[in-house]
Amino acid sequence: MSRQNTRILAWTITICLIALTASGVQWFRDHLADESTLTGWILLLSTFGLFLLSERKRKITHPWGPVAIWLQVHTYLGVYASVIFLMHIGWPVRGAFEILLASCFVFVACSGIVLAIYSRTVPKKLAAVARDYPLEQIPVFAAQVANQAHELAVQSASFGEGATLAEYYKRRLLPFFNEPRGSMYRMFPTGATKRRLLRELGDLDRYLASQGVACRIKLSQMVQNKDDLDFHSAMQVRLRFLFALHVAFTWSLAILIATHVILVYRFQGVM
Amino acid sequence: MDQHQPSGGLPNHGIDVTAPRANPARPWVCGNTALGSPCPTGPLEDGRCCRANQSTKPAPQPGDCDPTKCDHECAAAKLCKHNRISSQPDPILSAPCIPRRATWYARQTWALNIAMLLAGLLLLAMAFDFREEFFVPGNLSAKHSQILGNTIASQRCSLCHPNAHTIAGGFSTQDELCMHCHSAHLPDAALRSPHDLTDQQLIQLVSRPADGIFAAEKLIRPTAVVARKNQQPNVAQDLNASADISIALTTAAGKGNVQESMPASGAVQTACAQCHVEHHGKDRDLKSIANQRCQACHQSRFHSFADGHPEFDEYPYRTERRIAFDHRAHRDKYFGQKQTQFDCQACHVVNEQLSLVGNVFRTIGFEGACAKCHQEAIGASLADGWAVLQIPSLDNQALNNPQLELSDWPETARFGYEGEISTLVRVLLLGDPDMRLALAKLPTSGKLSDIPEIGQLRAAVSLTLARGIRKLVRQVAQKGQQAWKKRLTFAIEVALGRPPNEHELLLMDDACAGLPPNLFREIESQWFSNSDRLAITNSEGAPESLGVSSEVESSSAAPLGQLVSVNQDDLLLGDDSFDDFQGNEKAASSPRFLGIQHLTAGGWYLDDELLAVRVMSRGHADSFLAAWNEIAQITLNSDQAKTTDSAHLRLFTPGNCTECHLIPDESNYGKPEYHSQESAIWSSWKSSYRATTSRPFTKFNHSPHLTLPLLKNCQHCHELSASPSKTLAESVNLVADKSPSNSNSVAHEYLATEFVHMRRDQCTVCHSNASLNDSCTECHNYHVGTDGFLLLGH
Amino acid sequence: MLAFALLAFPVGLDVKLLSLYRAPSNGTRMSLQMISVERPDRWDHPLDPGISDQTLDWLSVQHPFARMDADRFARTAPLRDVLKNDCRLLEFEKGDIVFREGQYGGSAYLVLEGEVRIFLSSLVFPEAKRNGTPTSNWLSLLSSRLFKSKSESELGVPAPSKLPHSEDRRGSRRNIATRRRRQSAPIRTGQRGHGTNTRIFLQDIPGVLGAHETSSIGCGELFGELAAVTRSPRDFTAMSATRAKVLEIRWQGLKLLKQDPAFRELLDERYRSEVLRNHLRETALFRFVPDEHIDQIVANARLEAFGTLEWYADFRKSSGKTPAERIDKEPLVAEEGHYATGLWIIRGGFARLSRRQGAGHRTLAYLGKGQMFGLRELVHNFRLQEHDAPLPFQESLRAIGYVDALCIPKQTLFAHVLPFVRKVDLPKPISEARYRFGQPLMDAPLHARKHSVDTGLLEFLVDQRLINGKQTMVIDTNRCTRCDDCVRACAATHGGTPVFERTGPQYGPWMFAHACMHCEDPVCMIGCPTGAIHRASESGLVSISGESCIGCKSCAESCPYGNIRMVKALDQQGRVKVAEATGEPILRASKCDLCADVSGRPSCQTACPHAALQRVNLSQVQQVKMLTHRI
Repeated sequence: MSRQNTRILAWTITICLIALTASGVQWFRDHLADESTLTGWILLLSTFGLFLLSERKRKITHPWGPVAIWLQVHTYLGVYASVIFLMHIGWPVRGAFEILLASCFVFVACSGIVLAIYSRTVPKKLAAVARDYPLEQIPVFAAQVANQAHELAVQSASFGEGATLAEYYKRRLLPFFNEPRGSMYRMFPTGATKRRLLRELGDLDRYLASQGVACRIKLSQMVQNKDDLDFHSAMQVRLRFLFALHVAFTWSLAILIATHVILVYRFQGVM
Repeated sequence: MDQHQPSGGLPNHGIDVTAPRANPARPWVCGNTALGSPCPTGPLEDGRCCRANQSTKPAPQPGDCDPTKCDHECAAAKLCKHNRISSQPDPILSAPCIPRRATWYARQTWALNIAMLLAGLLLLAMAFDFREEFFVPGNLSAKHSQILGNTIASQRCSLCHPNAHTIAGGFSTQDELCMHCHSAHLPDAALRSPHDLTDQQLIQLVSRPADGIFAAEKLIRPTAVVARKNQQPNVAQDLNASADISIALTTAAGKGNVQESMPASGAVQTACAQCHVEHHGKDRDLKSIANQRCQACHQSRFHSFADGHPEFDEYPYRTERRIAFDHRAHRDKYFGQKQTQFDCQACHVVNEQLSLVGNVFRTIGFEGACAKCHQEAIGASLADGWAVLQIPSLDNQALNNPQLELSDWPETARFGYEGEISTLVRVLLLGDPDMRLALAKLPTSGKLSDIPEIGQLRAAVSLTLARGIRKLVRQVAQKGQQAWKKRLTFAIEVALGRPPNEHELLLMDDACAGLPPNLFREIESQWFSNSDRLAITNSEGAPESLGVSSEVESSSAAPLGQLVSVNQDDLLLGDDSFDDFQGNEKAASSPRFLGIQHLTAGGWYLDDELLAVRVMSRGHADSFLAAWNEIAQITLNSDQAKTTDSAHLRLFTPGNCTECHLIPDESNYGKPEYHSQESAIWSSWKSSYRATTSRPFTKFNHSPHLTLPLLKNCQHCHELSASPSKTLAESVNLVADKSPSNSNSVAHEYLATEFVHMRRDQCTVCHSNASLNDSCTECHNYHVGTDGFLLLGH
Repeated sequence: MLAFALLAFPVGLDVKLLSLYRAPSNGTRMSLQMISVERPDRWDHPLDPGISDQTLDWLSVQHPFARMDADRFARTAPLRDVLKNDCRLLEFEKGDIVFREGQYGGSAYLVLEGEVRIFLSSLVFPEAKRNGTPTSNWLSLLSSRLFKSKSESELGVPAPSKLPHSEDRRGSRRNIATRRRRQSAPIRTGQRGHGTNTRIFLQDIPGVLGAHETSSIGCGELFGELAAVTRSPRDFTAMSATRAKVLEIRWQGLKLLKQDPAFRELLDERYRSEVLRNHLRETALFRFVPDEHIDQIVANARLEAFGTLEWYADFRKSSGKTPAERIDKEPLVAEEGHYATGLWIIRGGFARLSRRQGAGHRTLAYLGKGQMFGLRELVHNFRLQEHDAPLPFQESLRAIGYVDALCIPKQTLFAHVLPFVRKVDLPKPISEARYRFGQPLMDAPLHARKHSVDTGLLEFLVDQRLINGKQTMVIDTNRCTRCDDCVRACAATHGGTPVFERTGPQYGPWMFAHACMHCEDPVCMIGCPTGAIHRASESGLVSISGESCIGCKSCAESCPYGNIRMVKALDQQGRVKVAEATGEPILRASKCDLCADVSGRPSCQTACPHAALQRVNLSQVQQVKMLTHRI
């Protein structure tokens, strides 16, 4: 079965489940039963199902099927739970606590959706870069590139072609190689800075002789490498940060849900 | 790490095979990573640098390299190779570093920290006074919002929520807390059953055969309701018995526990919160119920009032009728003859008052509506008054028999057995055990002449009764109203086999009201001509009788007074009786005393000519007549009192009351149905008893409708049928011939045919979802309870 | 104040509390504790720990050993020690299976007493060979999991770790019966003994012998050494025909014994006729060739080897060179444009099928075991009319590293083979020949057809020798979010330290990570002095036995892909083993074991949330196609 068909099937199942739940809710409504109890428990169960993914990841050696399947189920279950969530809450949401709970859920759901989108788009952008850099080793590579560039720039001063390249290095490239990129770049990495530096470097050629040009070409290559590293770093950090946020708020969500359930049943006089 | 040089496609084989692999699961990373030269070993698990404890063993120096040893055995081998490439080991890089925490190692730490923070905030929120504002899921509706104004904690949330205040689980349910406040005006709601009806009522309702829109199988969804068979076997059997009742009763509620905590009485459980949803802000109308809520149980569902709602069958003419008013005849004949406009509002609308249906009333009362034409006629029907007691004529010879003690019988009444024993006297005589036999022989008409002349029967009966009358007159003359009361009490005891109840005591008070003992003394002195004897007797029994009479006066004053306060607007009081008596005394000197002339406003007088005590009614709504009417029915028609030859005493109608008043079937007197409808004596005389039902199932308010120009003419909706099948009079007579007990249904039937049935489209012209509100609750009450249920037709 | 306290509490939470929420990693935590042990030696774990001196004495007077010159052996490894540590004396009853065709094994066998028969045609054993391929799609994975029991029983594939146990189970009569019904005449086997002495024996010896052609191995003859040396699966099944004593020699010992010239002769002896015949019988092309013609073929065929067994050294040297230089270095088996003199059948190793393109060579495919070269041209020439000129080879064949090939000369093929071959077994005729004698050469267009492998990828795989991998970890970087869940899972499965690295050569979106590929030809095994690194006999997975690894780094250094690392050896309690003499930590080789001992499935693959990581058998071009055409 191709991925396309799998996706169609999964969406079909999800939509059918949603329709089934909606008709169940309608049935409850028609029979004067409490539909929010129904949707509440469905929501609780599906949220529990969503929590199971991290459990699966933790117990990786257990024969419970590949995490990829769990993630797929997690994704579609998340869609399902979000729809049930919309059925469950009254609109507008009232009360400070309820707003807190709802916004926590919405945050986790939204970060999940963004994660789903990113995890499909970001890898392609990362793969478009010439090489792959593991996040942990990016500082190492960056330091290496910076050191090499530094050595090169120092060397270039001794070619007898003047200190053009060295001066430019000191003025523009030194901060580029040695300082972390700005927060704007980290959030929305673009190639603007890189292109500008490359253009400026290219413009230096007219003041350089052959040795200097060769050196300049190497420097351009390093600028490209450094930018690749920064791009990889920004993209990977963005993915991991989102994921960390997504995970981080699940615990809070669990606490809020538990409180909500206890409050509801206590105030109904059941507990 | 140099295998990661960003050059070359082929694997570089200068790999240091002893370097550990990159491990993202490590909690620490080398502090030199950012410098570009992390040490291959990396920090230890506890976060110390790998070089931290190397001080004990000197690091291998370049000179330590021993070329004779094989390369992997020489401790300095690596360093040796390294030295060939770069000149000196970097002193900074070879010194111990400060390992850094791996950034992505402890995602769960974040999660836990955030979660703990949140839990702390929640605890904080619970600890302080604003917790209610924090946890409340929305504002209360306007009606309930004052609850949160309470300062005592236990009076706030826990006023509605069972366990809101205390930690220990409570026993009450939320519904019980609702009923705490609401039981006063919705007493039946505590049942928590559909429409607040009891199981029996629901079953009755459901098991009735197809009856217009109330066809049960159409009304209630079978699935909505489930019988609790194990607890209510009878209910279940009933339900199973009727095949077309696909129904039963039960839980609609999703709140299982609420249901379990309920007593077994209710087969069907509803919870307040099912419809009345709180915490939706102060603008939320708690009473606004969506149509779907209703259709949840009602099987025949329709799209809207205009689309699919059952046609009215007899609405609004199903209500029982009390006044036999023939609208058609009045409009066409009487008003036409008088050239008067037949205006419905003239009789039915009182602008200042509101009834359940707005400012429209069934009638605005006799005085307002009928008196103009009928007052006179009512007066005329009793022009001579009502002969309460008539001294019958007896045989002269028999009277002379000293044993009979009737020697003082008036001279004018000694020419044979004639005269009539009035119903009133008949009842009073019932209270005399000696009279039983004689009364039994007395025909229904009460005329002595109608007693068959078999042997000495007529004489014997007449004389016996005469003695009773004589005794009665004497007792009244001596003891006044007390004597009547005693006799009435006894009569009721005899007739019903039990002492009189509260209702009957009230009747008795009315029946005695205005009775003037002086008039009877007058009889004693004038007709029986023994004022001396009376005086003697009076003086003889002075201590006793005086005491009694004073007692009577004081004791009878109270109930009279009560009656005054209760019926002050409707009833005529006998408070002018004393004046009447005086007036009567004055009139006695004149040759002929005519009630119609002298007592136009009602009262007692003596008819010397016919030796009768007469009562002039005060016109319409005379409580004395009404009371006697009822007492007569009770006593004379009761099973014990029934005489052999008098099959049934028809309504005792001295003033043609029943020409207009359709009185409930008295034969049911004493049975529960009767009392459930008639709580007060006078209610049956009133035109409507709508007020008894505070919440009918179907509600309607005329007021807003009457503002519409088109609807000002009532006949727009209440259209008289072109040709009624029979007139009211006919139908009443018909019934009287057939079975007097059916007068109600006939009246009802008549009413139903007098007007053309209303049609739904008359309403849906305006009440469609496009223009006006057409929700179920616009016309129907949910909380109808037993009373509203009765109005459904039971 | 309270608020501050509450706020401060969770933030300042100690990290140790968090260990509650993490899977315990017992490995590295203990790294502070050390234990001194003696440095392990190559003969610490002899093949047969229980071998007695009497046996050794008896052995040393047996046929080949008696004549061996003890002086030719190195001082560190005398003959007696080789016999003691690298040999094992096996005793077989009549009908016992020595080894089965398709099994992997690192031992050669020397018959000392009795007779062993080797089957020249395939026996169908109750157990089929493992052929599970990695599935790419989560739904199919799901379904395969759901219906696992069914598919397993159909395929008859037990998980490697469960093998001994499941073998017991399969030995029962019921299982055999059900299996036989399904497959075409499987032989019946039984089982006896336990532990290392477990023997599988044939139930119906005369029947089986009657149905199959066998050849006899007598006293003093050696068999099974080729598979041991080339690390390839066994070509045939061997069974003891009588009660027999057989000496099992692991190939590390064999290498030492080869120092003796007499023994070397013994090795080369009888391979030709018997093995060759066996090999030909199995080839589809020769199905209908009568026996007498087979004999002729055997007589005329040439066995040739190209390149060296230790090819990784050359490969390493060639790393900085241009593609043209590298291809020039590869031994040429047959060249395009030359006379088609014979049919080449690859017996082992890989050969590059290339064609000249511009100034270089374009790789069309690589041929593995059993694949042929030159058949199309020869068939074309065979059908040729009198006046037509024969076609030369249209492509070149070069040995990638080491190739063991069989050449059947044109005349032999025309006379003894092609007349008996059915049309369906023959390739399509050549419609547009690229090379014709006396005609100019034409470049073919470079574009790859829809269902063929991307040429660039093919060149890359061959250049990197990745074609050697049977379980190569391929990461689709277009899907990989670099979450490192695979590495974490690996670490969790392997005591806290991962056994692969999520880096490696990349071509396009595919990253061939530094994880053991479980090569078709695992050169890492060549230098292993103890046999610690070995292939599982059934699955062929390359694994390292931790206890016999002496940490010599030979495998790590010989792995051409850098997929083996040396790590600190730990004892049972997780303490670091330190050599008593030097105080240096003792190392042991570590590499991907496909989690065979832990869960039966590679954890990294299980853990990948985006199904970006998969194992691909690159030794088959077909699998590479699946990789590139994954939707």
